[in-house]
Amino acid sequence: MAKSAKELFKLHRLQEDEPLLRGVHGNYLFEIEQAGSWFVAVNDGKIKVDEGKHEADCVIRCSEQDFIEIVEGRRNLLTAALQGRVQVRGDISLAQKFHGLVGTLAERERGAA
Amino acid sequence: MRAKPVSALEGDTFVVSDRRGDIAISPEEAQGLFQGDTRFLSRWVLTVNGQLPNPLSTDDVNYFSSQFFLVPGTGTIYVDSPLSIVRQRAVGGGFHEELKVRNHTPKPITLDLRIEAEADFADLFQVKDAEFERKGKFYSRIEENRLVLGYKRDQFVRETWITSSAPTEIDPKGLRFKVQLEPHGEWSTGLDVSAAVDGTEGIKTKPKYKDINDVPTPNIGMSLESWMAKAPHLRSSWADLDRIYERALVDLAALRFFSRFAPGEAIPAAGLPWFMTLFGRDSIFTSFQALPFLPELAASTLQVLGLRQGTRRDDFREEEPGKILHEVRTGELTAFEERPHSPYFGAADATPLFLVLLDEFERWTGKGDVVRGLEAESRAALGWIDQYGDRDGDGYVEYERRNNETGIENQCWKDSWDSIKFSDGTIPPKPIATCEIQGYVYDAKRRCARLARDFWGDPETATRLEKEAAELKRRFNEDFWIPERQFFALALDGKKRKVDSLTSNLGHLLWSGIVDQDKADVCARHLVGTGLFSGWGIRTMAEQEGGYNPIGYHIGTVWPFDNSLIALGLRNYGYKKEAAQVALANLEAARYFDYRLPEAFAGYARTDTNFPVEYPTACSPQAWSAGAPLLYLRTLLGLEPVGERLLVDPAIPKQIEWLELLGIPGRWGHADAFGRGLVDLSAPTKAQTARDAARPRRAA
Repeated sequence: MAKSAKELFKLHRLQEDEPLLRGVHGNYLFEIEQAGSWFVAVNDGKIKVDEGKHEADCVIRCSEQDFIEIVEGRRNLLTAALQGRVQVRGDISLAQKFHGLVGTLAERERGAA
Repeated sequence: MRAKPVSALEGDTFVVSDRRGDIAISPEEAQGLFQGDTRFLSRWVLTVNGQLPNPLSTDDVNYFSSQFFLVPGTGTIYVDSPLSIVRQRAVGGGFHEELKVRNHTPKPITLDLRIEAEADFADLFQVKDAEFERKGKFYSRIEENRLVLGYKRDQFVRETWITSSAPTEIDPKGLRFKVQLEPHGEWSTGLDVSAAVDGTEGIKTKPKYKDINDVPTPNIGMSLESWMAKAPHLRSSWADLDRIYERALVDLAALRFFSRFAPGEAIPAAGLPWFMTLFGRDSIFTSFQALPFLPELAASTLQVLGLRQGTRRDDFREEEPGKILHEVRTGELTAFEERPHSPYFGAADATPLFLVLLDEFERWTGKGDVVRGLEAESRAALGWIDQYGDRDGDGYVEYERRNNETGIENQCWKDSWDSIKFSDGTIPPKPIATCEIQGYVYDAKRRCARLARDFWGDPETATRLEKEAAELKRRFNEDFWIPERQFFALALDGKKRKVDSLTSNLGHLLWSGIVDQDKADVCARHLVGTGLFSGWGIRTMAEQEGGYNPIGYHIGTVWPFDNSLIALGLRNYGYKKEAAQVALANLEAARYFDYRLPEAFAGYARTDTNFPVEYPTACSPQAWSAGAPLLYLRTLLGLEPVGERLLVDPAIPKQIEWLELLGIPGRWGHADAFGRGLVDLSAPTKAQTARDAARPRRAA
């Protein structure tokens, strides 16, 4: 289990070519409170992660703890957004893709376990 | 009998009020301003000099607006009212209300006008279940010319902002106006009530309309006028049919909304007031019904449902990889995971129906790019059917809820707890494999075989799916058939026993095509026989069954959407007269509901009541009921895409002398259809003829 957002982005289980994101084109900016910002560009399954802020199609802002729990599949992105724990701006369908991706990764891990 | 409430809606915002325009909740009345499954106003009451005015007239100007004409009570019918009051309200992102008072006397009048306002921020589930326990804290504050009513639970914040264009005294319980009216003078103010949601962006915090005469612009940016103009034009000898059709189109426009899952795609919400949200099954059926008329609904439904397809095993939400969602909610109980609707996946039929709609969409529109774009989602859905849908490996899709606290017990379209019953009225043990779901699976596999061959370049999968579909059909016709009662079992229960009630589900089997030809006659006969057919439509359960109740939600009522699919199923098997009979009965019933078919109505026989009896809590408008007249028109005109052409093969009852539908959109561009009413419903039907032929003849 990752201990920090930085570690998650650095050692992310996302592959550079993620089949689950084929057909997806867009940029994410993850603004993780008191941890930093990460820009993730997705181009038909090819992923590039940069630390820092850039203009993005979908901005997801939350605490580090919530972010880790979402990525680990322990917290639901929608309920976190409804509660006000996560702010999602821009292209919500991209956020949904992210939600589906972390779900599949969690399922993949469950299968591998 | 209570006066009917007045509703106005746009997207997932709606207002239910009384005939004064007031919102005053009670255990009997679920009134309020609702948005995102939250009640942002639970009290909105106008008084004049401390008294409630009397309603004269109410007008639903448009689906998103309403007007109320009131007078102060004079206490006697012999004294004319010196004043009239008009409230004009337009809904969208909250609402805008114009409040006008006119002095009809030659003397000045001073008035004390007050609007009482409260917000309980109840989750729609709490409203429905009359639960009042709240875990957050309420607050109010008065800002410059604005009353803010709020509710906070941790970081969950919902606020209602109320402003007035005219000077007002604001207190935590409402707004007060000291009105000086000149002789024959008029006073007015504009009241804005905004549903302010913190935590997510994109939620508008000001009312959409500033004037009730604004041109309605449904959220997809197409005006109602354009929406109506885009749909095929209907003309017929039966004026009622024209009205029913127009009502259906307006209701479908009204029920469109943007899901926060896909803000660019307008999809049909299920129905007012309880179901102003995305339902997988409802959106699919509605889109299917509307395909020959408004194919864009199907396109967006497929995209949105595909986007939020299940990816993981989550027992709380009953999510599984490849499964299509059942219902989405966004209120407090969902936010804090006290309800599983984020989204909830407790439907065993939505996944095969998604595939059925995808194929049907391509057949009508020729948009192969959508089929190619949804290949991964379709394959995942097919995978769900075999891996998760068939829970015990017996070759049938069955359901049993994994969420025992808040999950749905029956995960088929008849989703009330007691819908699946043996003929003696007893409830069978789970898991349940209802018959119609097997029909949907058969149809989905057969259709996906075509898609795999023609669009996915995968003939091996196509051949496999065809074989699986054929094998499913063969087994189903053996395993579900009840020889002694001559119909298909409603379901197989947890012990693989046949649940032996006669129900409308037979009609869905015809629609799916899973019924062997030699069993179709007897199915058609049952469907239009006196046990199931009330005279106004086909009951969900036949009246001779132990579980039958004419006002039971799924055990005796008549559901127009159900009937519309059955009519098409009858038609597909060649029972044109029976299809026309069902269609006409339902369309005639619509005349008693202001030309709007409700979610359901009571199953009393037409010979007993002479008019269709209302079901007490039916939603209206309901999307798939609004879609029913559209599917009836398709069935009566015999509209079928054949390659690049539209086949027209009318079978219209004599009661409708003629009808024409102009500008039917599809892969052919636009086509016209015309038919004359030549079907004589008083003559024996094909099913009756077959029955008579099969009946043993008495020896001479």
